[in-house]
Amino acid sequence: MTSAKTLGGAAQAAPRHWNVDGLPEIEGGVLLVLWGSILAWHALWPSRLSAMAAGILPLLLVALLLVADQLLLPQLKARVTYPRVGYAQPRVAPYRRAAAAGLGAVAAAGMAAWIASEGFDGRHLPRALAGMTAVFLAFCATRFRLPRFFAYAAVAVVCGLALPREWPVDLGVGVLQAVVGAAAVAGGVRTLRRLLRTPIAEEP
Amino acid sequence: MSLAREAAELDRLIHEPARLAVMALLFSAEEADFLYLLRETGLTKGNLSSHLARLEQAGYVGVQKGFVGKIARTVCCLTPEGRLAFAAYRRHLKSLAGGQ
Repeated sequence: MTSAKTLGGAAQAAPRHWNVDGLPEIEGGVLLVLWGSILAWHALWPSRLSAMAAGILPLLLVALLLVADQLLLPQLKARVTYPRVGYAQPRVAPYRRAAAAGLGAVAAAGMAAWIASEGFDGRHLPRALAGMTAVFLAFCATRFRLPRFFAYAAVAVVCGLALPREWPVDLGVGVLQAVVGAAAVAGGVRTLRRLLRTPIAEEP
Repeated sequence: MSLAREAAELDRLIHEPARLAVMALLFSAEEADFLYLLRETGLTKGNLSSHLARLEQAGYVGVQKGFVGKIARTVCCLTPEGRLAFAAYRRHLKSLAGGQ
């Protein structure tokens, strides 16, 4: 007999399908590499140009994310993914979106309070960020049954532990983001190459 | 009420394994196409077509046929009635399993 638990598994099928081609990882990874590289560049060789790039970086990332999410990704998926493995638009319940936003706000507030506190040592920031990134990636891996996300979480942990303490915070954070982003791009490309071996299917 | 009688009150249209798989998959999606359902359920094309037709007749599933270039594409989604029926079915099944 079909159990309620099995039905729960089917409930994650559409969100898992969204990542079947590795394109969202490539998109997110490229943005992370860009972010990390500019931060590291500014930390290593500070100049007026690097300061300007680091200053407009948040705005640039939001704009790039919007363009990639709204224009590029749907078109790529329509050409590459849907003819091979089908199309499914995941459904996100409004209360879940609100819960995720709330959780993110609590995490950001906690981080801000920690940074503002007297006992804060800035040298711990890259390691703390690595831990948070790893927890988030491991959550995605478990929730959507995407084992390769555990590998990205492991990369974040290893990178966080390997960062020298004497490095400036900007450099540590930049290198961490760039390494995790590069791992995501590599994983996404590998997944995409595997998907491209699937022939285009036709409906009856 | 006896357990067997309670179990008999499950929505039979949804309770059939193939249709249950289709409903469960569509429940987690805004919409999905025929190819996705075919791959995820493991049914044959004919079998999936006939089950989708039954669910469409019952008003649980909406089906839209179209073309992307020269390739035929059938997009399916749960109707509001279908969503309510599946949620009720899930609650019923959970209560039968003792809330587990």
